[in-house]
Amino acid sequence: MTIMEKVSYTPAMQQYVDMKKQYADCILFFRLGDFYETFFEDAKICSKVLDLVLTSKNKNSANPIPMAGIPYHSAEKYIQKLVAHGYKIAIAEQVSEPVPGRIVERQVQSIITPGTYIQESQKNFAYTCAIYYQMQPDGYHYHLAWGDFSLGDYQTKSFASMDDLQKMLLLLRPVECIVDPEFPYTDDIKVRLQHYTKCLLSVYDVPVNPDLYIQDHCRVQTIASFGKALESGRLEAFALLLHYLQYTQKSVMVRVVRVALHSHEKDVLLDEVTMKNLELFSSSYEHSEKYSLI
Amino acid sequence: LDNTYTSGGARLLRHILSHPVHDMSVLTQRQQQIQYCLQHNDLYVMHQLLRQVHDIPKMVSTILYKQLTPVSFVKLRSTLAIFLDERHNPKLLREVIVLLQRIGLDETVLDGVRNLYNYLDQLIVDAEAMGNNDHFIRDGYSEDIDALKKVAFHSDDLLLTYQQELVQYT
Repeated sequence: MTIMEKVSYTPAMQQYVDMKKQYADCILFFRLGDFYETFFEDAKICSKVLDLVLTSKNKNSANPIPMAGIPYHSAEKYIQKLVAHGYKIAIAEQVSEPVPGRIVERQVQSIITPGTYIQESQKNFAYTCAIYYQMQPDGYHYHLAWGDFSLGDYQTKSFASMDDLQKMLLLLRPVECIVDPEFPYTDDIKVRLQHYTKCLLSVYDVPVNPDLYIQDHCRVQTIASFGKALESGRLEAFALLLHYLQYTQKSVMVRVVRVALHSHEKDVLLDEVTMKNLELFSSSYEHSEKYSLI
Repeated sequence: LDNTYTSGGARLLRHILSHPVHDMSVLTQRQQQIQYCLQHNDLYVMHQLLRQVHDIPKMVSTILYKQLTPVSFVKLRSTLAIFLDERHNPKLLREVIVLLQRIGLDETVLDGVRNLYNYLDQLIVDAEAMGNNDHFIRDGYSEDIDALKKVAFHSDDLLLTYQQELVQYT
């Protein structure tokens, strides 16, 4: 059963339905006492991925609501599994004391995504990328900002062609990629990235005043403090990345340790075939990381 | 290929292999560094220390974004102790500090880290007791807190006790 507009729900269910509309692309973990409950399609996904028993709310009604729950104190292992499968999870917590006759207030306090899930045992980078494109006198330019959220270390770079951008993306192997709604090649990037890696692609807005947004967030007097790293469209790309990460963290400020312009003047930019033949990230036999070079 | 001891080392190795350089000076410098390591057996001690280094940037993020857990603070203190606790190996410690300063560690930053380490060292009385993420306050500090912990973390045992008491009464 999917969420239906005209069905009358209990106040708590109505609260869930309203919240789910705002976080439609996430699995909503709805705190009910000592449990995080999921309903409707989310419950079916959780049941399948997490091997949970799928029950239903209002079993005897004409439209029972699929439901699956997990104890809040062991949520971590379930979240880890969902994130590994490429899902986003919105955590709705109870933010008011239970009072008889009144519904407990709930708020989404964080969104956990493959790029923002922190795993201390994970030794490799878990990059989140943001892509912004811009028309310039010599044609379209593509700007990329990326970083590992858990390290707070970010880099930017511009490309004159989609091909170069895609080469870089394949080298970075991001776990998450953000594009602005106007980006015309969302599907191309998605197909190419997902051929090699589990990368979650999301669409999000660049903030209205990207320079002011970054200045305010990073507490700097001027955007020039970042030098060439945030010149041209790289400013919008980084603002898009930061805006998205901040959206996932809600009230906690995203830590930015460094923003640098990526320079590969001394590097050799490996192409797709070379990476594949070197078995750099995955073996050619099983296509798994297990027998790769690194 | 990855025989690194630390997460920082693993990340650096990944970066080096995925971004091969064509600059001779960088390649020569890398070879010299490898040569230095091969010729200095005493670096073995340093390697052993590196095994105990936890991923500080990730630990800071865990504390900032995820949750404050006693384990994170214990790990942070034990990692900082490698670089700052003079009781361990004063000679090696001085060498490590000189090395860190040579690669750009600022004195004010070092002072800040020292203060943080000293503060953590004072706060953490029993690291073993804090090894369990549920326990910020060690058992035995307060009877009331112990009773509440029993309800919070061992409710199955408590219910069993109540059940047994009920059986006795009835």
